[in-house]
Amino acid sequence: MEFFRYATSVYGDRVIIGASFDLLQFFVAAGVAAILAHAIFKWAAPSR
Amino acid sequence: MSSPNSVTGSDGHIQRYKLVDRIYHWVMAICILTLMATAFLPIIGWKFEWLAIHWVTGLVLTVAVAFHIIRSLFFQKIMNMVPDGQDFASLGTSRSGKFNLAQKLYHLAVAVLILSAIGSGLLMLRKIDTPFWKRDAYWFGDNDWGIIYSLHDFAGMALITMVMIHVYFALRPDEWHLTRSMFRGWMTRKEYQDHFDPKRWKALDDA
Repeated sequence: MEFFRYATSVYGDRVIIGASFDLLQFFVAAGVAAILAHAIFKWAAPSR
Repeated sequence: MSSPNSVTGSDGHIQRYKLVDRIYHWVMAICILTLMATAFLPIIGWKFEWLAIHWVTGLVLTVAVAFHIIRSLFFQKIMNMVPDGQDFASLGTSRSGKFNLAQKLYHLAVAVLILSAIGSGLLMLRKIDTPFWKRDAYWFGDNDWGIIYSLHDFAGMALITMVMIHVYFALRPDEWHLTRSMFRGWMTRKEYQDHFDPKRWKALDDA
């Protein structure tokens, strides 16, 4: 898995053209993880 | 009878968000969701003419955010949104100022991401034809464009995480007093007394 997308410039150089969209799933997973972590914490914590 | 600047009505409601702030919030929400849909649906396979919708919505968001910045700097109490020592001291208690520490940190993170997306997005406008200008792909070198595009992409993807968290909290029953107030502007006096420290958010002189 790469963090960036690459292309070849007119001069033959490998250049970054943006972030890799393979990372999309990890940002979604981070959201799910944060939500689950908070929900479990609130469920397990004694109510005030 | 309440004064024009008062946030308590004669019916005992506590004003939390003025109409202009609620309009800003929902305009921003529509813009963000539209921008995310036009950015990411084509990537996951739903092909449509997304570019014009994306950049026009981006300009609407830019104007809205500029309005919000000016309003918060000159017409609101910006310190309501800045983390301070009292936020840390009140961790673990049930009552906070107008915004608690988590809300302030969330706002800070979203501000950084949206300003990054807007800044990079405005620069990226130079690479497309619009009714106002012709594209100029040579404004920056290849590597510089790569950095600008990467910043825009990372900010956009991170905003997915932030929107998910925001919607989750808005839907939690223990946060409904906040969610309702973003629709109708006010909360009940009991909700105010249950969740907020009147020393830190003075309902009578705040807005």
